[in-house]
This record gives sequence, C-alpha cells and structure tokens, in this order.
Amino acid sequence: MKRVAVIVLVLISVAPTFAGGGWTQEKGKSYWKLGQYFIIANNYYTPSGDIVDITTTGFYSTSIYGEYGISSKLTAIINLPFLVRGTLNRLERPDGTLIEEGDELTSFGDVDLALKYGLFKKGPYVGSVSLTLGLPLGNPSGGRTQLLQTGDGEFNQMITFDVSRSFGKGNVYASALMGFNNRTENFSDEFRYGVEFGAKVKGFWLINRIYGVQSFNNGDDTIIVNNSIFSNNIEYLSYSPEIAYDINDKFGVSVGAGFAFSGRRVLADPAYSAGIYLKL
Amino acid sequence: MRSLKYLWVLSISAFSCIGVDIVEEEMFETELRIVTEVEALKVGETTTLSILYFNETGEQVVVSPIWTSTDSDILDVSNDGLVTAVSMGSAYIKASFENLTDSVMIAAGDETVLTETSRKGTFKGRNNYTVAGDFTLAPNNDGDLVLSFGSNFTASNGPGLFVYLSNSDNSVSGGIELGALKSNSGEQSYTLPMGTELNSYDFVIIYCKPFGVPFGYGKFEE
Repeated sequence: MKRVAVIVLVLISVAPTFAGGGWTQEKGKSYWKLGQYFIIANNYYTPSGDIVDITTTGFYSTSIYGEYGISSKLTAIINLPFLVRGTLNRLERPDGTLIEEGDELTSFGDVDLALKYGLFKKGPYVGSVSLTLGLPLGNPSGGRTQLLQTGDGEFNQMITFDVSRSFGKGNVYASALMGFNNRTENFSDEFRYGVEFGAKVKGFWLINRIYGVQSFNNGDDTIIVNNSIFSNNIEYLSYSPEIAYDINDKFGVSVGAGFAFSGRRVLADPAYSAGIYLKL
Repeated sequence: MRSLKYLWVLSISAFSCIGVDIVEEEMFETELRIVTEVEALKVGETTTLSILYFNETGEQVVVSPIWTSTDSDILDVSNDGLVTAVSMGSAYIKASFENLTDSVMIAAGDETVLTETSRKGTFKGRNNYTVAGDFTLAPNNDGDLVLSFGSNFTASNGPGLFVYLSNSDNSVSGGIELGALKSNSGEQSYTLPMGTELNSYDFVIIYCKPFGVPFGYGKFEE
C-alpha cells in the first residue's frame, strides 16, 4: 500500500505495509485510515550503498487507506494519497547569498487498488494472495525544476502472498509476506519481503516490521524518462516500529517510524507516520 | 465531529515549507598557473603569457603578477607578460603573486613551437553511478573552447544532471557550470564561457545539481 512512499522518493515504509497480513475482512466489514506520512532527509544511500549528504528534501503524504470485505474471502483495498507534497531546500552560503532556489510541488499521488483473496484458514493460520494495481495519477515531474514528484509515471502490478498466525486469544500475531512487483516504463521489477510481529499490551498494539525491497535490476536507468534515478533500482531493508491504540471499538490512533538498515538509491533518514483509523 | 480534531494530520502536507540549507564553501589551496601558447619561440618574435589565479574558494580571480626571467639575455619579459626571444637558448619565465610562484621554461631558437591546443580525458562513475566515455577540450573554428563528449559517453539517468569544470574531482565549488547534461548517452558538446583557458580546470564533473551529488568525473590527462 505504500507504493507512493516507496517509489516516488524512495521512502522507507512506515505505514501498515502488511495491510492486515493474511487476514481478509469479513463480508460487509471495513477498515479506514486517515494517515499522514513524512520524511525530511539530507542523507541518501547511493547505488553503492554508501551514505552521502544531499540537499534536504521533504516528502509529505496525506492519504486515505481503506479495506472492504466484498465477501468473507475477498477484500477490496484502496490507498488514496490525496494530498502529496515534495520540497527541496533553498541553498545559501554562510553569508546568506543565494546558491540555488528551493522548490516545491503539491498534487495528488499515485493510487493503489488491490484485491485480496483468502487462500486458506486453518486453525490459527491464515493465508491470502493480493493483486495490487498502481495507478500513476500523481505528478512524475513538477515544481520549478520539474524534478519533484508525487508519482512515478508508471503502471505497476504487484502480486503478494501473506501468511499470518495468531497466538493465544488473538493478542499476539505474526505475519510474513513476499511479493513480486512488475513495473513498466523501463523500471526494474522488484522482489518484496517482510515479517511483522504484533502484541497487545495494556490496550496498545506494539507492532514491529522488517521490510525489504530487492530490485531485479532489469530496467534501464540510462534511458531518459521523466522520473529520476531516485525511483528506479531502489533497494532497502527497513525496520518500522508502530504503536496503535484502540480508543474504542471503532476508533483508534497510531504512530510509527521507519529506519533503513541499508539501502541503495533511497533516502537514509527516518520516516514518520501518524493516523486515525476507523473500523466499521 | 469528534474525529475532526485529528485532521491536524492534513496540515503537515498542506503547510510544510521549503527550508534553507547553508552550504559551507570548500576550501582550496590558492594556486597560480602560467598559461603559455608556446613551448619554443623564434628569436625576434614575441608571445604573451597570462596567469590563472584561484583563491581559497577555488574561484578564478584576476590578479596582476610580477613577471621575471631567469636570463633576460635570452628571454625578456615585460611587466604585462610579453615575452621576447632575444637570443638562442632557454630560460624560465616566472610569475609571482603574494607568496605564490609558477614558472615555465621556454626555448628561444630557430622556430616557434606551439603547445598542445587540446586536452582529453575519460569519465569514471562515482558511488556506483554509471558515467563513462571520453571527452576532449579544444577550440572550434571560431576560437571558442568546446568540451566534446565522445560517442561512447553514457551516464546514469538522474535528476537535474549538469556538466561542470572544476579543480576538484568531487566538488563543483569554485568550478564553472557548462549547462544541463544534454543527453545521457552519445556525442554532445558544451562551449566554455569567454575567458576560460584550456588549462583552467583539471576535471569535468557530471553533477546532480538539485541534490548536490556528483555522479562521475573525468580528469584531463597531463
């Protein structure tokens, strides 16, 4: 679900990447989340994996994420980043003289539509497969410099397999996923993987995620396209803790952060998220 | 209505501002270089030498050096760098400014021999970015210096790539910008601004200007 965040400016995912893990929504039930994600970074993992200083760049995304149970086995999912903003800092010398103007871009982001199908449910184990379509509705080239992006300009299709297991009375769970992201417009395809552990302690869900993206490097980053190198052949391995709290049966709030252990062509500073969710 | 208080999350995207990065100038050793168009000068002829002076920030600054000859019976030099071959032999012409000195040896003989009028080099990538191929710097028919990339040039795609001449292989501080990279592959050329000499800079850099990341560089061969 974090395609915009991951692809547009190679941001480290901190939102519910696992999107419910192997579980599907019950028929007629839904989950909605109004989320805010942002990263402000002046460190960058180069293609060799080294970290270098860059001009400070910011990326902010306000989105609505939703899951709806079409049937007990089939869930429709949407991620709608309706307000996405990228910024690039102004550069000045110590005496205040201008080196380079800053830049900014605000627009709609790329939208994800997905269908998740429950493959099995056996005791505490559940498994599902998802097909996610990434619709390039964001702006792949904007701002004064035409370098800022709120979308990558390519239509991608991702197949994901999720397996989850609950423990005890359902207050502890574990999930694992792996997926293949088929990308167009000379972008490299990707293998995605991850694990997630969650436990409810005194009303708080404590969630820990490890998430990785590995590029097949089968694209061509020398071909001129609107998108930058920041959006092709990216790789990273990240850790994203999150705390969620159910205010009542319907409402809850969450905060999270994401840190990249390693990466290539990704921003190297932490990303943060916060949101309010509604279960109907 | 209760949930409206959580709409603060919208304000982060809507009102986030452009910040300011303060960029410290990279410090360089001050440098003085003599520019000569001749290796040897026919007795009785003249040539004018000039100098390149680079200050602590690597910027080229116009200064007036003191010119001297180690043997004015062979090569005479005026206060403005005009060298006259007086008799057969060779001598060093020195330029001094503040605590800096540079010198060139020029022969005085039967004919005038010009120095190389072009320079060349080969690109290398940095940080695993692809930048490869050959380049040359030479005057065109109008006398303008032109940096030309060979047909084997290729560079990774990147945001806002520009071509710079610099005296550092990793920084464009004090260098000059020749323009946005015209293409990520193949032949292309960039005309140097007036006043730039063939030997003013030692490196060509392919630089991601908006994010301040060098993608690759090439050193002019000695």
